[in-house]
Amino acid sequence: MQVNGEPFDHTPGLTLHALLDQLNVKREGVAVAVGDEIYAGMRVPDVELKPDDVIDIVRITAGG
Amino acid sequence: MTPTYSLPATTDALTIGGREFESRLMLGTGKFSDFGLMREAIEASGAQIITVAIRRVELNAPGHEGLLDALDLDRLQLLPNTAGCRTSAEALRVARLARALTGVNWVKLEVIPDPRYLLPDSLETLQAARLLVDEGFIVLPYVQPDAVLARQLEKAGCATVMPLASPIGSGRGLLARALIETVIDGATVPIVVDAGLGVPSEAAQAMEIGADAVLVNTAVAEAKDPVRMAAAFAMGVRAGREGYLAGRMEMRSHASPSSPTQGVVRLPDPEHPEVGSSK
Repeated sequence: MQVNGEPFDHTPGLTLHALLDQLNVKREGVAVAVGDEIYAGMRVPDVELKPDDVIDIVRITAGG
Repeated sequence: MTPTYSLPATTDALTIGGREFESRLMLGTGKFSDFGLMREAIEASGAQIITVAIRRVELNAPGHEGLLDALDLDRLQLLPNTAGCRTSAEALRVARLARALTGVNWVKLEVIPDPRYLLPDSLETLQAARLLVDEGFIVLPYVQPDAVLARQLEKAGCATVMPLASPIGSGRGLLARALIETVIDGATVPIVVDAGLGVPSEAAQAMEIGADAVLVNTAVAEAKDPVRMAAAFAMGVRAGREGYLAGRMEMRSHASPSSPTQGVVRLPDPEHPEVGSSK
């Protein structure tokens, strides 16, 4: 599994909610991509993650 | 005497994506030393369209920098960009993430594989633009000043075309002027000159040649006094727009005196002794 470009140890039964909690990610002000599925942080479903999932967790930052 | 023309409080409206704007200056939020200064610069610029970027969160970090809290989103149109994306696939992912994150379906589409000059990839940009329009995005693509590409982007349903004046953050000004003129000529969507402008006179020039708006970031954020420079750019854009609407004079190859050529006071010329002739 990959999270924000880094390899991440997938444990059987790991869900998206559990992952975000484990990483101390606040749901507000983020968006999450699991493969091609895109979710607003506050509406992230508690789906079970697969060992080959590619996950991105993003926020807004300053930019031109 | 009542003046026959007085400058209106705001410029003639600019319509993008079905929304009207009173300002033709767009501002990026990057490179400001703090959010307070950024907010003051936005205020001074009068800009109503403000770009932001999307980045991965730092994992296990305590919180997020509150950029969105620093922006008055009731008044400002947020324009998330896809800066940093090298392919259309990356840009699509970032645009979709931005929409989920902000609830805004506007995107400044940037597909840039080259870090040295930050020049956009035209083919990948066009491909991404088509897909994003299909997904209901208001797409503002950042592109090379290429009139053929611009027409294709318009046909694809883009809300604007944003040709670069010179490389991003370079402050080299309107290097691509002649090519931008070809993009403007015959355009059916607003043309926004984006990137490379360094001083307000360059923004004025871009507007004088018929650009509909300009977008700046580094020129303001890296000025010694960013707030003052933001206001100066607002004046430059305004002056350029007014000058464009007023319609410039035709250029001549030779001088044309502004004062009457009849009745000029002359002393006798010894080589041409017609005394006192003004002719």
